[in-house]
Amino acid sequence: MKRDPLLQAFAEATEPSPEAAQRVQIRVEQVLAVPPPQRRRWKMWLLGMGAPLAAAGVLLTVLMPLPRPRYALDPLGPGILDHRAYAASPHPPTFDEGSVVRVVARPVTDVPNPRQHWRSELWGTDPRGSTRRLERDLAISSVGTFSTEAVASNWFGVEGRWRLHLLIGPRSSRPYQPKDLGSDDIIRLDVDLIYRPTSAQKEEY
Amino acid sequence: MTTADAWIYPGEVTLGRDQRVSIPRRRLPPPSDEVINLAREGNAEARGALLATWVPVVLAWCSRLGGPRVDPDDAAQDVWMVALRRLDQLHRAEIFASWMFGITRRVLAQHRRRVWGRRRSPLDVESMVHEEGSRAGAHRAEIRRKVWEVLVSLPLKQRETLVLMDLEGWSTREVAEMTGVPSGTVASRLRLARQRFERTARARGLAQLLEAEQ
Repeated sequence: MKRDPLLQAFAEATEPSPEAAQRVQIRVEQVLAVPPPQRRRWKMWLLGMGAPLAAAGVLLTVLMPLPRPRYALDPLGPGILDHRAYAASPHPPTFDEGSVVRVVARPVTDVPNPRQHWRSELWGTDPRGSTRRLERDLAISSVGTFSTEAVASNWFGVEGRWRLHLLIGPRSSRPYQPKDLGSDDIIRLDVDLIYRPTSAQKEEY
Repeated sequence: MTTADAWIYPGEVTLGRDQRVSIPRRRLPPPSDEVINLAREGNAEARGALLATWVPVVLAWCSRLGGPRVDPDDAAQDVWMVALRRLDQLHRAEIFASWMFGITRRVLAQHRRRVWGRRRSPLDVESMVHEEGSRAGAHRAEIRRKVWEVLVSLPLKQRETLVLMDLEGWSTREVAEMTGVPSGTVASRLRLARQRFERTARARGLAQLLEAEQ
C-alpha cells in the first residue's frame, strides 16, 4: 500500500473546519471578556484574621462547596429561530426541514466562579424513544449564555413530537448522556417540538 | 519540499513523493513584533488578528496530535487561554510557532492524562457518525476510526514529526526547533514514523476500507 492515500485520509479526517476554528476563537474571546476574579491577598488575610479562622474557612470550603448556578431556558430563545412566541404558546411549535432549532439557556442565579469552563450539548429523543446527540457546544465560561442550534434537515428523521435536552455541565471530553442527570452535576433543560417534514423529506427517510 | 515554496498559505502540501492534495498548508510565517506587542497590551484588534490566523493551526495540532478521546476544540481553547495569559513571556516574535507548539504539547499532555481512565472504553463511533451528518457518513467514520487506531499506535514523538512534516510542511530545522531535538533526530523519527504508519495501516485493514470507498 502506498503511504499517500493513508496520510490523505488522516489529513481529511482531522482537518478542522473553518467553522470550528471560528467557534474556538469566539469562545476564547468570550472567556477573556469575563473579568478575572479579584485576587485575594492570602498572606495579609492570614496575618489579619489568624490561622484558626483560615482553618475554619478551609474546612467550610471542603464541607460546603460553592452552590452551583442554575440555568433556565431563555423565554425568547427556545424553540425554532424566528418563532419567538414559543414560550407563550401552550403547544409545542411545529417545524419542517431546513428550520434551525435553537435552544438558549441563561443563568438565573449568581455564578460563584464565572471563569469556570462549562460546556453544553443538545440531545434529542425522537417519537420512538431513541435518544442521540444532535449538536455540541464548546467549553465556555459558566457565566455565559448556553446556546446550541441544530438544522432540522440534518438530524430530525422521525415525524412527530421530539423532546430536546440541553445538557450543561462541567467540561469533559466525553459526551454527556441525558441519563447522567443528577449523577454528574449536569443540568438538563427540556424543550418539546413537533417535526412535520414535507412529502419530499418523508420519501427520503 | 524546498524552503522557497514554504510560506504559501493556504495551498497544497506534498504527500509522499508525487501526490498533491488540497489540504491547507499549516506552516505560517510568525506574527510581527508589533502584533505581539499590541496583543500583549490587551489590544482587542491585534489579539483578534492573532487568533484568526493561528487558531486553525493550533486546532489542527490538537486534532492530529491529541488522540481520539481528546476533544480538539476544548484543547485548542485551553492552549489559547494559556498563550494569551503568558504572552509577556514571549521575547521574540520569530519563535512564536515553536512557543505555541510547546504550549500545545503541554496542554495536550494534560488532556491525555484526563482521558487516561477511559483508554479501554471503545471509541464513541456513534457520535462520530452523527457528526458526519448522515448515514452515508458511517463509512467515513469507520475510516476515521481506523486511521486514528493506526496513528495512536505510533509513539507520540514519531506522530508529531509525521504530522508536522508530512502533513503540514514544516521544515526539518523548524521541527527540530519546535520539538527541541537535533535535525538528525527529526529525520530519523520521520523515517521510522513513515515505516511504522504504513506497516500498521496494512495490518489493520485500512487499505481495504479506502479501496471500498473509491
